[in-house]
Amino acid sequence: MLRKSELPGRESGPLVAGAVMLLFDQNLGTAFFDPDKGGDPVLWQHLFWFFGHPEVYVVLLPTMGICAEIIAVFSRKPLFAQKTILYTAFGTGIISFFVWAHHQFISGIDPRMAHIFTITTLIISIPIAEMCFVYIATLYGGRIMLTTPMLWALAFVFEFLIGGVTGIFLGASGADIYFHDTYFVLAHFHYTFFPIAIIGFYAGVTYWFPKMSGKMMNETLGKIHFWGTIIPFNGIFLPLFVLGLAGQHRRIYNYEHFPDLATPDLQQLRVFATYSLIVMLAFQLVFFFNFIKSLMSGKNAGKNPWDANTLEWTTESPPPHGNWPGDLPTVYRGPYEYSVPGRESDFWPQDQKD
Amino acid sequence: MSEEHAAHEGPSYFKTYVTLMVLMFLSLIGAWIGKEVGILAITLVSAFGIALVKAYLVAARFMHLNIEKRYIVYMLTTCLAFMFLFYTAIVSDIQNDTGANWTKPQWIEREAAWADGTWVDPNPVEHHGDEGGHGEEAEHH
Amino acid sequence: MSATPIATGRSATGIGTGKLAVWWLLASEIVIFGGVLVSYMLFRLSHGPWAAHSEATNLYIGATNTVVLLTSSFFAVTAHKYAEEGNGKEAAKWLWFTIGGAALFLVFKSIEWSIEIGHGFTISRNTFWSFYYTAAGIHASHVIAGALLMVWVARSAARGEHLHRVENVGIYWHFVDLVWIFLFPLLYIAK
Repeated sequence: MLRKSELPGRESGPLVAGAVMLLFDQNLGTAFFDPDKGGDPVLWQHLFWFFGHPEVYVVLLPTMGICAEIIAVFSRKPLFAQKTILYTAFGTGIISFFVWAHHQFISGIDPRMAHIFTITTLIISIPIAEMCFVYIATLYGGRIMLTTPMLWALAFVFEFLIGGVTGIFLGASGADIYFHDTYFVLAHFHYTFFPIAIIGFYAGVTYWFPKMSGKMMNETLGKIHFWGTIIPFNGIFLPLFVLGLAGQHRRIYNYEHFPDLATPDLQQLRVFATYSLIVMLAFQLVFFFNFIKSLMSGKNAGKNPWDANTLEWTTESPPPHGNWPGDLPTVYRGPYEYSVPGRESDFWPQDQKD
Repeated sequence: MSEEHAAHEGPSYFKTYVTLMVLMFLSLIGAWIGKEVGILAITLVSAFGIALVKAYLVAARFMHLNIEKRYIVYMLTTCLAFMFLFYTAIVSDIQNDTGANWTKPQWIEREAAWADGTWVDPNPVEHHGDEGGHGEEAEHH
Repeated sequence: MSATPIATGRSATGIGTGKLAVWWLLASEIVIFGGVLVSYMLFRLSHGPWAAHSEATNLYIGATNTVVLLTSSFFAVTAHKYAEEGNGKEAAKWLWFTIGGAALFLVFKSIEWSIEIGHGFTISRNTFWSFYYTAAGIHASHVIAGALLMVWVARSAARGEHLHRVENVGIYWHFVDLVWIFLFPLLYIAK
């Protein structure tokens, strides 16, 4: 239901045009972006970022959908304000087309444009924050079950909030004059992208693995992998905020060229981040081991190991060709009927008559 | 399996086609008039205005957008709207040669040379015989 | 034993999935061509001296190509009419005429470009020619792709199979024509 991916292809058009133009500039000597020949490099930036910004929301929204599902299931509560989530998802998608030049604040764009884009960028944080609040409201008063997928979904909300909040600093064109091209930006986009891509990936895989393969993943290994990923992840990227504030800009290959940045305390932060990275990478082996071992000899999952309410859990694991072995199920109610008062069971499958 | 069962009503495809042909020749005539009289606006308005009409005819009659579900039309016009947004948002950057705290020196040099006639085309146009140099066209601001 | 679900049967959108997919594709194509053409207009309206090179495009070949494409669009919609009536063979015949129009377009374009390149107007000559070849080139690649698709659809339509595809490929082809309807004044008339 909520697993929508945003308007694929609509934002990418100018990038395809721009990419063709760039290829031609580099190989055929055309004059699109070369000022000496009459072109303008800022046009490339605009073409790229007109795609690039909606793109990150394309990546974000499916993950928010995955986490919405998981949080509802493992709080044994209906998803709070479901329609609002839907509308804010649409609203976010639409607003995301109006914020792109916040990647170009100091590239020489007209400052009046920068003002407009600051406003739209700050506005877009509102629907996203609201979706996070809705997740927290779903948790409130629920019977929270801290299974591995739930841990990942909760981590998503927590880490993404940090990423999103630091985006506010960057979205303000004034502050961005200092922050642009520093490690602050890096820390911000890793704190957003890592939850979206990696945490969302693990949340989805651990949640749907039983349905896809018919076997359960090992919970203990899952939890070890979870903590071994999240704690080092923060160890890598929290120091980067400090480094960015201290003025470390991007793409330095030799710190000896920048003695102000080569001080021991800053260097310590970098070393700590690198060690955290090594630890985090090592823990991914736990996941691969768990994944393969569970595929081969995991416990049988059955149809609905999580007692979830969405329709995929009414069919076999893994689903046969055509998804259901017999007739398609008749649906009697919505997907979020958890903990309905007066019923014995804390969930009410959609295809059960009463 | 197609939704349409019987052939749908509407102006005949052939009539629409003839209209399109007529419009195309009208746009050529408009361009010729504009050139003779020397008013660029006539050329542009006739060419693009007629193009819009032709586009409407092809979209409505040939692509059957006149009987298609409305949301398809909304989807397509949204994309067009995005293109307008894109243009208006970056016009102050790309079409100008100076802005707040920046200039495009190569463009400024070129305009200055163009103004006092000292601009040398690094790649001169080879004349086909019907027009002179690059004086009349492309008036600059 | 279950019947394989047919996507159109369960469509919540009200139109067949193939047709919806073609419209979705066209929406993306609007922004692709829009990106190139908006960029061209931005540069052109800044009145660089290179704009004078627009004089060198051949209005007559451009107009001929416009006639060819409009006619091929007419053929495509005629094919659609026959496909709707269930007459696969006629539909295929008119699709082949459309493909012929596409081929003729490409022939004229090749002639035109050979003449222009012969005069030294290559893609890297200056900004105008960069846009000219890029925009017309992306369009021509869509013409080629459309022609190939129509070959495939015509062959199955002749056997009476998948007649709904005639309409879908027709919608794509009309879009290719639409882009040319705008490219023609932009590159050939606006001088």
